[in-house]
Amino acid sequence: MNASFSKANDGQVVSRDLSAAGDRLSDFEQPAQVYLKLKEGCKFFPYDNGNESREFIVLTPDNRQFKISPLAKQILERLDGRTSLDRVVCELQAGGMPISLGQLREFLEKQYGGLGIFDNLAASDNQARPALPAKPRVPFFLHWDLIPKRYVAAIASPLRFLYSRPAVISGVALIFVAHYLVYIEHPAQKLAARPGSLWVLLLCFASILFHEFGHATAVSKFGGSPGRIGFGLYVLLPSFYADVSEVWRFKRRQRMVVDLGGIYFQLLSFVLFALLAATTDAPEYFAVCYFIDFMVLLNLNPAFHFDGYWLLVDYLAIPNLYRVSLSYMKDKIKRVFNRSHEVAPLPAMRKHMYWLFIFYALLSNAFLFVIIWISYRYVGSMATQIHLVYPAIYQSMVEAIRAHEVLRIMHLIVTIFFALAFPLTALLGIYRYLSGWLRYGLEKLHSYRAVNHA
Amino acid sequence: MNSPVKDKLVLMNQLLAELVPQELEARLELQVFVDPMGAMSALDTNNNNNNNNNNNNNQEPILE
Repeated sequence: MNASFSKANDGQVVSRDLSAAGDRLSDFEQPAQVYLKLKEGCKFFPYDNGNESREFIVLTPDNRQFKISPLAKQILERLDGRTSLDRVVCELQAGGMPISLGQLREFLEKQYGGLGIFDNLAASDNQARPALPAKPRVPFFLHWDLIPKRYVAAIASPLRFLYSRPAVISGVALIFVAHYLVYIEHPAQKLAARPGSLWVLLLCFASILFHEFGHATAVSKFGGSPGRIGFGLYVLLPSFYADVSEVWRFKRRQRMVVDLGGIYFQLLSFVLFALLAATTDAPEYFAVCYFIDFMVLLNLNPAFHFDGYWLLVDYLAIPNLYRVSLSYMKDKIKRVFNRSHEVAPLPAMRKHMYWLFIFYALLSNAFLFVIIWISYRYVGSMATQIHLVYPAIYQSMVEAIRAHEVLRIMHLIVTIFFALAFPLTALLGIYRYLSGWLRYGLEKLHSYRAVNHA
Repeated sequence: MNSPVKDKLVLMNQLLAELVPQELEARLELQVFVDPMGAMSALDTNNNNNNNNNNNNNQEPILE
């Protein structure tokens, strides 16, 4: 393939195929010296960014995904082990791009050396992007795969009909009716009768598992193969997760359906529990319904990496949204004090999307402050009650063991877990937040001192 | 003032910025289980024990 690269009239670097330019290269061609070879398992996919500019995803053999520009894709495709790097540089130069062999090689070593996508290129120095760990980072303290990929696909496949148009319309209608039943027909004092917590807990877990199948089924519906479903401790809070990393390669609308699929399925489980509640009048089912709604609302919050966050990521088509918003806000604040400070450009987006992005950037950071404040208050109140709560649980546990009440023992184990998990999660959150600020402050101090000494 | 060298430098920086790969996060759609019942139970257990203690203290002493 003869590919070449060109500079557009407006000065922006763009790429295009130019077979004619390849023919002119003989004038520039140098003796071949460096041959880089892209690994066999690397694949390219288009990335739907919601606007007219084209972008691509390169999938590495170890299933990592990177968003790249069309120009980067063209360069990577040229590095097939037969085309020398010198020739690629000549093609770039023929397209009006002033880059030398040394510069391109150094750049590739720094930016691509650690990605493991070339057979014969490794990171050269400690300035380079570090080599990637064997498995992608997951935000869990501990995690286990509960349902392997092949079983997830087998279970998700027959559920795909739930995403057909008639099923979605009737499903949404049923969800509204079920909410009417629970909140209007049957008032909230049902919880005055103490529901059995352990049963409620199990039903809630079942609804969460169904939530994860909602994501997996949507992936299956759009022709993908859903990943594993697992269980882990998000900081110290128990969580289920579905691996849907493949959806980066889907169309933007499809990605948004996958993001909403979990909530859709969980609200379908609400319908079932609402019917059981209305027919049996058992407080347990009402409690489960309230918890499902509570969890759905929590899940829509984009401040954490829950479904609401991914929905916003896909709507705005900005991967790594949190980091992007954080650095954008930092740049904006720096610009207030230093007019020459440059703000990293955002991808092209419509005006209302830009304001949504700004709203998210402000809200997520403000929300973080609120969470830290709540955590601080919670840890404070727990500290004053700790001498009462834990001995009380212990005493109840001893009584339950003496009376051989298995269910009560299990319930108390769960109680102990949450009584430890909540305050420890809050403490860890405060620690991470404060240590982040401390690190940032120390870095600034070091750089300030370095500048002054220089 | 724009010089050809400066233009060349700007163009190259644009080119290199365009070539930087952006890693896409691993997408784990997760659902955290926050158990209000668990938290309530801890307080209930505490309250029940307090109530029991209060009831015991309020009982009149049995005279033998």
